Amino acid sequence: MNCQEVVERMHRYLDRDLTTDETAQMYQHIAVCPECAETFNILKSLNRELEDLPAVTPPVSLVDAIMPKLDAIDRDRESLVAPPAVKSQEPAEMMPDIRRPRRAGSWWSTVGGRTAIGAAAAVLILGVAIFNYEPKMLSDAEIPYEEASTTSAGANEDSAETEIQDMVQPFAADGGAETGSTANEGSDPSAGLWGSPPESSESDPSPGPNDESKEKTDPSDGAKDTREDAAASNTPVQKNNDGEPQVPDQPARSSNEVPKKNDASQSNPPVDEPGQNSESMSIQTSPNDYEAMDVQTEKLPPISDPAGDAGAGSAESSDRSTGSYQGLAMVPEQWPSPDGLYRASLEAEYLVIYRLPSGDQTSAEAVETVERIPLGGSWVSGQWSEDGLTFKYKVQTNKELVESVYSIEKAQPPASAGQKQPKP
Amino acid sequence: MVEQGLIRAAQSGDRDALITLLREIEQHVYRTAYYILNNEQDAMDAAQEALIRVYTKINSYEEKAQFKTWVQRIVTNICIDKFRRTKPTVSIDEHDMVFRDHLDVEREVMSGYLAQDIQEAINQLPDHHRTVIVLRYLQDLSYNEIADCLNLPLNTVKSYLFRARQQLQNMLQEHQKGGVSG
Repeated sequence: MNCQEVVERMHRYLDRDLTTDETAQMYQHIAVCPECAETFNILKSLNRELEDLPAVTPPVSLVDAIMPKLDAIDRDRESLVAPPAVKSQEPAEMMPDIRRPRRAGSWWSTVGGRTAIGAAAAVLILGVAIFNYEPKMLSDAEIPYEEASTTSAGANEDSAETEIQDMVQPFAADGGAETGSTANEGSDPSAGLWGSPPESSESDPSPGPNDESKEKTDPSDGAKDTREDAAASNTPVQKNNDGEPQVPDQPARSSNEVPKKNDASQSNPPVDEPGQNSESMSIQTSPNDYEAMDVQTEKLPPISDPAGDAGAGSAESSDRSTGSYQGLAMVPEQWPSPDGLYRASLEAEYLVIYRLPSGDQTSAEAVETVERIPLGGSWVSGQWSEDGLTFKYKVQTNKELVESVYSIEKAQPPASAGQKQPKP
Repeated sequence: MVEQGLIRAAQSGDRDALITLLREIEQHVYRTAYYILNNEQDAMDAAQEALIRVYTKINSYEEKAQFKTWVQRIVTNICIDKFRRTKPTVSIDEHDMVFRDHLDVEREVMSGYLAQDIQEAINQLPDHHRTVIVLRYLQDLSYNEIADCLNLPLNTVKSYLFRARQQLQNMLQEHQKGGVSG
């Protein structure tokens, strides 16, 4: 070990970096080398002086001195936080701009892409359904149509698919051409609705000259509007199916298109009396064997009459009508007999039996009122017998349920045919 | 030196903890600045700047390093920057040559100059040598800690420290010899 190495060990010794062996070797050399011993003493002296350097302290507290600066920094931070808060809105406004391109970039998240996905899913489902469909079910054209329309299972092949379309198209054309006959048949209310608005728009202005009829019907109708609208919107299909006379009367002024049509037919009969426009209406609304509309048109005057008979008490009539209307909303209000010759109708507090024209007669005069039976209570239910000769109905009086039967004798003339046989 | 809990509280936004932390490191920061800069006013400025930097950068401290090393690194960097701005740099060799060439001629002058005390001798050291001496003796850091502070290799730290002590020894030796002879 030379002196140079020993000096290095001296420094490391002062820095507490020597092992005990290295320290011992260093001391051995120092013991035999006076020069290194002197250097070592000087180094130890220097080291002591350095270690004894005074621990200077600041004349004043530095933290206290910088406190104003620190507060200023905090304020700057807050003001920096606040502008970022404001700026965070700008990025927030910018973020959607950043995201929108991303959305646009991913085609499946666009409206068109989703539509395409939905279309693909529909095609897939349809394909599976077609693949799994039993072709022999198509032997009868009626059955597959029902199944296809109810289950939307489709057909087995492409030809079957077009077959469904062929079946659907006549159906739609049917509803459009017959203008509401489908609505009365109850097969497709919407199809009937499409045909009706033009009628009402045509026929609405026509009752204009008939101020009396308008005055009769308008006040009560206007008063009932709101409540009737609610009820009408609840059961539009049901009313259409039954061709029930009161329903067309009550919601006549509602925005519903079906009542509008009925409104047209309602306002028509008064026009009918002066002999205006009746033919065109009957042609429009009751083509061919469409009886219900004729009946409806014919029956409307008796219905509007009770309301009109109430006279000035339109509020009273509206209350009464509304009450019965709400009660009837859940019950069919017209019952055509199975043989199609008669029709029982619930009008206000009367059960009215109509005799319908036979065959293809469509004139309004063919419908005759057979019997008008006061109910004497609230209506519960009614049903024709299978032979169409008796009509059983139940009325809830004050405390008991009264079941009555109305019988029709076919042989007798309609005017005197009725026999009322109430049974307690 | 400083509890980790206090550091974490300061990092989590506890301003009181951060102020307490600054008070604990205040003297260490000032002492380093004072011995590197050898000037009370410069030391005050540098120490305050270092404390403010700690205050604002506390969240950048990571526990994988020692907190005192992190603080000393901040203050030494500030001091070296300040030193470079205010004093013309002289290379070590040039300094030594000048010192030795004029040793005989300027012995009296130098003796008087070196006689002041060891602090003046430290002030004569080149920046990095002085800084290593300060960290070693004023902050009692090990080689490794000094290396971390100054971002220098360990052997470079040793070399700087040995040479700094040698220079100090030479200066003081001349002073002592001068003192003995004079």
